Amino acid sequence: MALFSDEQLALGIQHGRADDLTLLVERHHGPLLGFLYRMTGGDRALAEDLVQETFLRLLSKIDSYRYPRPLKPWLYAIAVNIARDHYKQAEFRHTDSMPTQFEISVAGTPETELVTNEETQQVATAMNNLPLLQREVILLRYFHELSLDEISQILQVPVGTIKSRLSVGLQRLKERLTAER
Amino acid sequence: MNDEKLLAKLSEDTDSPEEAAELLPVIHKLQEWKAPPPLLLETTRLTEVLGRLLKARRNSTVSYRLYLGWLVLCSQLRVVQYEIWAASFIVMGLGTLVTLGYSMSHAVDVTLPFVLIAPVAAAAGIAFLYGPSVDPALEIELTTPVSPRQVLVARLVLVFGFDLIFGLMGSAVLSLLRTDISFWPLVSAWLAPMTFLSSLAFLMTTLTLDPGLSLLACLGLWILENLTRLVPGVRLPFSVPDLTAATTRPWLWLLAVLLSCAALWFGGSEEHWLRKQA
Repeated sequence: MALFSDEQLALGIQHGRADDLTLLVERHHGPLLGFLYRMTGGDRALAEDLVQETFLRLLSKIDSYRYPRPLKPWLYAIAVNIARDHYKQAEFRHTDSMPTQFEISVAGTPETELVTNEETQQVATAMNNLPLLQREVILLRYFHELSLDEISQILQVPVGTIKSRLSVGLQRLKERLTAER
Repeated sequence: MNDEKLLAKLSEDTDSPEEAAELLPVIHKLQEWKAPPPLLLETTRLTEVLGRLLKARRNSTVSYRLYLGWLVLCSQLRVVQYEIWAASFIVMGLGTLVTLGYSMSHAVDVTLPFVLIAPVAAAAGIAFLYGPSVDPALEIELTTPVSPRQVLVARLVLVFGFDLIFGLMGSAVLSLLRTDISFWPLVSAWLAPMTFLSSLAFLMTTLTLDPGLSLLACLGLWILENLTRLVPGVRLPFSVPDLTAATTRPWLWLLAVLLSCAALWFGGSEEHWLRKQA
């Protein structure tokens, strides 16, 4: 159990406390990087840039935060919007939004690494072929332990829509992973 | 997360325990995709950047904002081409001398040469505030935290302020040397047309990105407006409102505000578009 909740840290940041900001960044840097890394199809450098932008936007809007509103959904809502903006701009520039080669992070012996790398590559490719709206709900739900209500708050859509996106997305994922085997 | 919890989650999402059981291996595979953790150096750098911003926000008092505004003005002082300052200075100085000579041989009225010269001198400076040739350091500018509109406002304030000061100085010299010229009537005769013509030049430049074309358009309009005064006996086939008349001044002020807002809106949007392209 953390000594201070995210919401208490946000309150501290509103009062200009740098220690609270450091704690919040240390707590969420890793999970946000993971989320954006998977959202960007494994582009680590881009994910790191988007994480920085997420925190900058959080800081610029911190005065509009009202305690005790849950902070985590708000933080992820910012991250989702930043990722979406990135893809909109990529579309605007007519550039490829996804890297062709994924830099997959695995750990283990060289043999297991080889097998795991191949399997992970399959998962990454299958995920990247999903529409953005389905990809983001699957990531938020199964990697970041968010409830349906929290995801509904983040994406500003009804729970029913979230469930429908999850169901369709997971079925597509299943089909792709089975087909590639 | 154990399988029991995962199954419960999948059942909640799909409303079907059978479907949930089918999808469980998919989630297992999905969770094999590990993301790299952030490096300690990255977290430290991020907290440093955010810490500096937090500190700046803490100090975000009126004086701090004024100081930031002053810094933007100083930065633009170096960007604005020095020829603009020199040209404004020379034209205003010559205008003062010509008006002095004219007032010695002619009856004094509101359409003194200075009233005709000051607006054109200011419009010429403003026309060269913006555009690709004036912005060689666009990429550097785009990386600064100051918005393009703030940069444009700073340049407008600088150049217009410079011309205003020289206009006031010229008027003061004329009213001191000539007892038949009063300071305030003279200032009010050129100030409204100068503001209007400057804002028109500003808008034209942001629209066309061509300072020369903008200057020519403003000069043309001003010559047309004053043709009957400059060349006695000339008659225009259409009527032109007298922009130096006291009755048109409120309209000129209103138009100047509208044109400047449009120029700032368009200039900022265009910069935004360029930022996206960069």
